[in-house]
Amino acid sequence: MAAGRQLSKGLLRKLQNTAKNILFYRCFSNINEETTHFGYETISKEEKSERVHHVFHNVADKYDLMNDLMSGGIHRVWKDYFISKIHPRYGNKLLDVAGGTGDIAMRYLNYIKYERRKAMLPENQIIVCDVNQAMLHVGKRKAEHLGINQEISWVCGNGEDLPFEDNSFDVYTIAFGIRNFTNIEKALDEAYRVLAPGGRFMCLEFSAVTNPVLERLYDMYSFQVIPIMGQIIAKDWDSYQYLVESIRQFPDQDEFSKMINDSGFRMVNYENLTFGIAAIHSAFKL
Amino acid sequence: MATLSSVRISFAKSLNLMRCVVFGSQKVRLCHNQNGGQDGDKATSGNNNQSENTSDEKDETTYDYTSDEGSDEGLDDESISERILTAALQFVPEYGWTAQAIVEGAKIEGFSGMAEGMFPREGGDLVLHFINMCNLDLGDYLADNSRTQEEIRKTIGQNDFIKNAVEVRLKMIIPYIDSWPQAMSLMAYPSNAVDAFQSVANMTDDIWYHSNDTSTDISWYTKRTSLAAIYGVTELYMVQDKSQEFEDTWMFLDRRFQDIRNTSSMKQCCDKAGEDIANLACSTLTLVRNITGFNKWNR
Amino acid sequence: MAISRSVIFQIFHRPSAISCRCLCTSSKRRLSRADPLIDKILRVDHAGEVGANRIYEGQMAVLGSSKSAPVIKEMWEQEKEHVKKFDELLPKYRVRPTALLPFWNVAGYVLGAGSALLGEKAAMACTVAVEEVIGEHYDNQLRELLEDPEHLDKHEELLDVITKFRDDELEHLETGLEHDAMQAPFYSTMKQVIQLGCRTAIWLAEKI
Repeated sequence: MAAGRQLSKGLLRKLQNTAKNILFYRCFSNINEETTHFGYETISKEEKSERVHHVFHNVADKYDLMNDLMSGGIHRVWKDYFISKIHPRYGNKLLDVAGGTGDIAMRYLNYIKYERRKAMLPENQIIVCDVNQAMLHVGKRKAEHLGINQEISWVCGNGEDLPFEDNSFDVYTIAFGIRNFTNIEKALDEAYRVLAPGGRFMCLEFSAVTNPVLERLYDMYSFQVIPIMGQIIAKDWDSYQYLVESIRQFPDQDEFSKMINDSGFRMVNYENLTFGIAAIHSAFKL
Repeated sequence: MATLSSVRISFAKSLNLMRCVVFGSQKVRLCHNQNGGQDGDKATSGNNNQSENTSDEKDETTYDYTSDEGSDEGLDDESISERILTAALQFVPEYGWTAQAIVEGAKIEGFSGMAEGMFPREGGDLVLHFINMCNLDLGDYLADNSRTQEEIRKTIGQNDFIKNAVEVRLKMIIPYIDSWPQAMSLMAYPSNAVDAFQSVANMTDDIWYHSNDTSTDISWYTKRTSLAAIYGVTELYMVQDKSQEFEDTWMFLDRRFQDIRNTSSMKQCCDKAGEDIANLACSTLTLVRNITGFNKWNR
Repeated sequence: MAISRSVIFQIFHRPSAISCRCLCTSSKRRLSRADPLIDKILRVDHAGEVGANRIYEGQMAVLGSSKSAPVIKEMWEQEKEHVKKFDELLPKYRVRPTALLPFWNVAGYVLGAGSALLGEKAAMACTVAVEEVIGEHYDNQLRELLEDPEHLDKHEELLDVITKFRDDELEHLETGLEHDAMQAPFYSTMKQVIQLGCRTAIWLAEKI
């Protein structure tokens, strides 16, 4: 009984903090060069990467479970569709950045296997790169469990400074990751660098909901339900608070398309999924 | 065990249902530069400032992401995709009108096979590109022999000119005749049919224009549709034609033009009948006028 | 299920970016067609002149032997000239005639004959109503053509033709007024109805 009261008190305090943060953000949201967003907070750039690292370190174990619960499973449909949009093809090299738990890489592999009906793939065709070792561990464990560990290489590296040669990949994917980068432009420049001419940049990311009514509902769900869910299941309110806030901070479809174009990509377009809750951005290096 | 599998099946079903919900209501929006069509038309006489202004104005809804400053090689997206598709044509006999052919074409042009994703309609885009190329070639050929020039008009009759044009155009698909049925079925897809229709309309218009057609009445339409019909059926015939050098096809084409001659004399009869009816109507009108006394009224 | 969905999706999913580029191909090799402004102007003018021609024809069928016949006849001759000119210009600029031409033929004739049946003055009132709209319409076109001064040399022929025809049409308007159009029964109502019809016809002919 006492513990229950404790918990509810804790929840209440968190809610109040959030409200304060939102107010604060609305009043003083001028960001200078040294600082950046962390959710609705404004912090220094070094601190952001540290704190993002911390967030994902905390949630790594429950990451997949939470994704299912929060999205009601829709994220699987989004990812499947995302892969089908890529048209995976035997012989194309994939770099999946911020793909810690290997969701995209494994789907990509399955797609090719299904097409080719071939068990084995040459090595170094699929590379997962994540800055967070904890997330990579979860992915590796999953791959081992499924017996596809040889076909996927796991590399720990920063998306803003990729440890790969120029023009070395055919596809660069990033699913629900680019939001967390401190410097998105730099990440895009890196993507452009490692892609071979004709290579494709594919990004799946939360975006701006286009329908105002749905937007209200979506906001309510995000701010009232998700952090509580995070607290109960992953025992981590702050990380999920950060998650929903960072989604609001991320540039909307058109703005992000502009950023992709500014990095040198061509034929930039996007496609909204489920009323713009998520969006697929596609671009080519020509 | 049985219950487990039934649970799995029902889960799969509900997942599929969900997919329909998710993707059925999605909004697809391409923010890619669509100036290719609009601005190109507006700025036919090449006033750069003007075209920039117009694109700025309409970009409230769609941002122009493909500004020229982004292109380092000085080649616009359009010519790159054209290069890839043109290169892909040589792989059509091997792979058919498929994405695989485009992949090979992209590789030849020095791009990653992933560039195939630039063509969401895959084979459809390849076929349309081929058709448009052929139409442009035909346009050039017709312009060289155009009957709009006096001296050529003397030597070639209009019917022969048109028949020859159709023949020239049909001969262009001979290199791909084995895979052409596939191309034709691709063009029947709703996603491609509009563009396919447009290109046929352009082709027939080119042919009639260069045959020195000056009709400005409804026959403008009937002429073009009947030519499109002739072209269509002859194309179908050609695909099944096994004769040497498609002799049967050309004979078939001859017969179709013979039919046209017959119908055109019929048309003249109809016109005559129409005139008679008009005269009849006029005299009835006068009669009615006389009976009702309007004539008097007017004086 | 999944496969059928993807097939359906492929069929109905029509990405606009590519379709645009396929249609217009490269800038170096482009199908030679009139630019949209000229296309629109010539099509609607041709349709209008054909319609006007039919109106006079209808009036002449009814009033052929009346005392205003020579006046109508004279105006009709001018309209015939106009139609002839546009018949030349359409193929020259590769402009498609309007698809509703048979309809204008009938509608023009009915309007002409119908107004003539109400009397000579009503026929003149019809002329006034129609010519007023057409004159106004030509004026708008001249304005549109003059709006891009860069292309003046290209539009020179059209400008000449339209200016001349506008003057002709306004002359017909004067003629109509001189011949007691204002005294026609229900003059203002009739005028408004006819003008509404003409404007709709113009709007349609620009599109179809």
